[in-house]
Amino acid sequence: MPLLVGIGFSKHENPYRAAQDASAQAKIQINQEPAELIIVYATSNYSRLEALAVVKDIFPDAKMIGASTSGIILSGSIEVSGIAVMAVTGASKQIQFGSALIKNLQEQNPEVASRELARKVLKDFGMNPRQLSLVFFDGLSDKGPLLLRGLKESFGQFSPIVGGGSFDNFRYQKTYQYFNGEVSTDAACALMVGGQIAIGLSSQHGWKPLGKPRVADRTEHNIIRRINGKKAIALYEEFFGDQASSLFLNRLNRARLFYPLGVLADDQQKYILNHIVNVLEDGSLVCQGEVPQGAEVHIMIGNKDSCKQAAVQAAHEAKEALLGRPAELVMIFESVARQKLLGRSGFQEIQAIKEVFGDTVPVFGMYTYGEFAPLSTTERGSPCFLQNGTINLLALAQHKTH
Amino acid sequence: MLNITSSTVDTTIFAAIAVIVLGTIGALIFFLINKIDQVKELQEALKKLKLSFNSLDEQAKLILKTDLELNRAQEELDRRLASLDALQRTSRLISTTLDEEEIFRRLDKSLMLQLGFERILVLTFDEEKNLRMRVNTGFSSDKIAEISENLLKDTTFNSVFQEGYSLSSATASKQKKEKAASVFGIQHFILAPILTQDGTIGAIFVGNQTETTPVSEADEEMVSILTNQIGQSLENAKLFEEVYKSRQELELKIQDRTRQLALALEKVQKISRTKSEFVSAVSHELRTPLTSIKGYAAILMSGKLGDIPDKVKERLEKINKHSDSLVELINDLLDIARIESGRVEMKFEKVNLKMLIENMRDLLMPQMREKNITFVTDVAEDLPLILADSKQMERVFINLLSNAIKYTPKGTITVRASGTDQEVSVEVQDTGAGMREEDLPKLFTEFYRVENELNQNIKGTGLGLALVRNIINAHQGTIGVTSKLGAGTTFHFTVPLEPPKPETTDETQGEKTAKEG
Repeated sequence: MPLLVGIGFSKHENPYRAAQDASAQAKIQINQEPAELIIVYATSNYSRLEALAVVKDIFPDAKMIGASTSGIILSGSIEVSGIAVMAVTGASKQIQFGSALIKNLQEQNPEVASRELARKVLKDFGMNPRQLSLVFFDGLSDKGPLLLRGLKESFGQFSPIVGGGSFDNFRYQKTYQYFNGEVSTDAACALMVGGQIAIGLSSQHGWKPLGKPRVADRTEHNIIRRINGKKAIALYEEFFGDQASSLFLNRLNRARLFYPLGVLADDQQKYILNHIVNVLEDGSLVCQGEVPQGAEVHIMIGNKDSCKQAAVQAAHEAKEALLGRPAELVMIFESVARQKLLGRSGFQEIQAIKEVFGDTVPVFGMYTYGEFAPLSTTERGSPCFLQNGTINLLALAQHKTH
Repeated sequence: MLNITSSTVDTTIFAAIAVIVLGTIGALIFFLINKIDQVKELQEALKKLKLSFNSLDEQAKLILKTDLELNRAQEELDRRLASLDALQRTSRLISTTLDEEEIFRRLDKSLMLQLGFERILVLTFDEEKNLRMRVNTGFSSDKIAEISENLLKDTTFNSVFQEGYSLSSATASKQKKEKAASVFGIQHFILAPILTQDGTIGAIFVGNQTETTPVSEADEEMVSILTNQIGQSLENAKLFEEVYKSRQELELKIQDRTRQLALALEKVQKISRTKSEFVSAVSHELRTPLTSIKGYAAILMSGKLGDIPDKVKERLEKINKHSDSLVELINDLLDIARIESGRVEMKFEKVNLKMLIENMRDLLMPQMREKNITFVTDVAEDLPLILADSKQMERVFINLLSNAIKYTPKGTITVRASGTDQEVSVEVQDTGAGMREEDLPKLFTEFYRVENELNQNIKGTGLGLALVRNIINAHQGTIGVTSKLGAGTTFHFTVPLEPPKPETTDETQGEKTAKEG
């Protein structure tokens, strides 16, 4: 049986009905076959337990993971309210999946917890050849970097990890992770994918460095204490004036998403974007991802055009990685910063991506608050980082069997 | 010599060394000077580079500030567009209902979902000019009572309720803003009047508690537009309600009048029945003595009781003749009454109208000949047979033709008959005196006689045409007349080939049987 992918979506005002409708649509598209994998994205108001339980009832034997989001990207639209279900079947011969969940991250040592998550995923996955892992975690938690560190240790430094932080509708209150019909918050779920499938992965952002280079001369994981010998916030104060602190302390101000801190990567070419999620009393900046001590940093700037160009570049890279095989599905993990920046023209970006892959390619994506992605997707074995502001494309194609 | 030579050599070597040393020193000095220049140049370049870097930084700051402003403008624009969209959707929602309660219900949901306000209060004036709560999110009933009282008493709100202006935390003076904030207990708010042609009929309050979502001037404009729309929708609802009410009243009146008319009709029908019964009863009673009178007159005239003088005989003949007329009149009356009350049972049989019309010619020819009237028949060869009571159809022709003869002093009487597969149509046309148009509608009414000079000399009861109409009706046919004064009259009637079976229920059947019994 060939690999079949079905994608259903509904914004029926009753979340239970919406879950039913979206599941039914997906099921019809996979010819009513039992699904092997289910991925669910839902906006905050659809993240009810009963809604997710319905999806589980309809696909009882499938492995299921998912996350809450501020927007769902589909082939024909971007939806800011509703629930989407993607069902995969016919993969058993070619593709293997392993999945697991860990809860109550705040109460645990995140590195230990993520190693436990990795162990459970690998146990479920078995001794199959691994391709990549897809991870969702609570985007509002500050445990992202340490979670990634534990996963890299367990999966191997160069094993690609994609996915990212779940989110709500820009309320910054509560986000959800879905696993096998269960709805959790403060949790992380992971899916290991392996087997005979061609994967094209690409990550880009399109933000450019502003001003002269500065050095983060004292950092602790994701906290930058000093830049160029001064308290870290001074960098932003130079640019924004005295309002810098208040700007970053107000989570609803979208300027904080638009001007991330760029950290020049070891390759001296790429900048890893970091959102400032908090400003400490001593003027230290708290980033979502880790910042190495001594790194060159810049305030970054981007616009709609640079974002779209980056998306098209990512599409070409992901397509080339498929070595001529037609993409059967394009999954997108895109930063909420881009959702805000692109605004109503968000779908133009998706349209541009579709033009690269062919207009009929099914698209299934979500907006993430922090993305896991390898620094370079054109070089094998590039390490993964928790980044912000990126668009990550995961194009899947079947291996041709001759 | 040797010494001299040695000394010369020494001097030469020394000189050479000196030259080399001096040259080296010179070169070094030159090199050093050169280096110093280069360092100076480098320092200059570095200085320039630093300046460029700093200038780059300054430019970057400028770019960022511009970008920040652009983003702010974009954000405001996005907000306005989103508000407009929400406004348009809300307007559509409330303008598609004409039910006042429904308008408020939809408004409640929409203000929350579309416009994203946390606190909502909609108040309208009742008949006693008190404010009545229509929509509420987030206020206790005590608080609403307190707010309503303050809104009516405090002069801060005069601009809203008396002048029809909105009041918001974005635009109001500090004093008014503080007053309104203390009345509602909310810092970020808009209070807008609901205006109709009759003036302010209430107000909408929307507000946000959280500091991060202040209301803007654009929000105020939007809510003002919305309140105008609400005012209009409420006015429409009121108008609709009024139209609906008056229609209801009209319908009730129509029903009442219809009932009255039905009662009147029933009364008339009852009177008509009573009249028919009376006529029938009286006619019966009259017929018996008339028969005796006729009998005795006949006996007297026969001379069985002895010879009678001519003069008496002449009187007796008159008695007999008038008695015959009276019998005829009574018979007609009885027939009309019978047919009307359905007591005459039609004996339906196949009737050949062509033959019937020819019989009429034989029967009436003497009278026509007497008046020099030409009788013309134009009857279709294939005139179909009809299912009818032949006796009654004969009476129809006799009546119509006798009338024609009566009112045609000289001229032509034409009978035409044609048929379809449904019915037969007959026309009886004369070239007689004719009638005025206004006389025609009453022509088939019992005892009606057209008032003119001619008629005064022609005898008649005014029952013939009524009888004809009743017979035709009993055959489910139709009858009519056209006439022109001085040019003649045409009676036309149709009779279906087969009269449709009357739809009788068991009940009416029972009634009929009872009457016959």
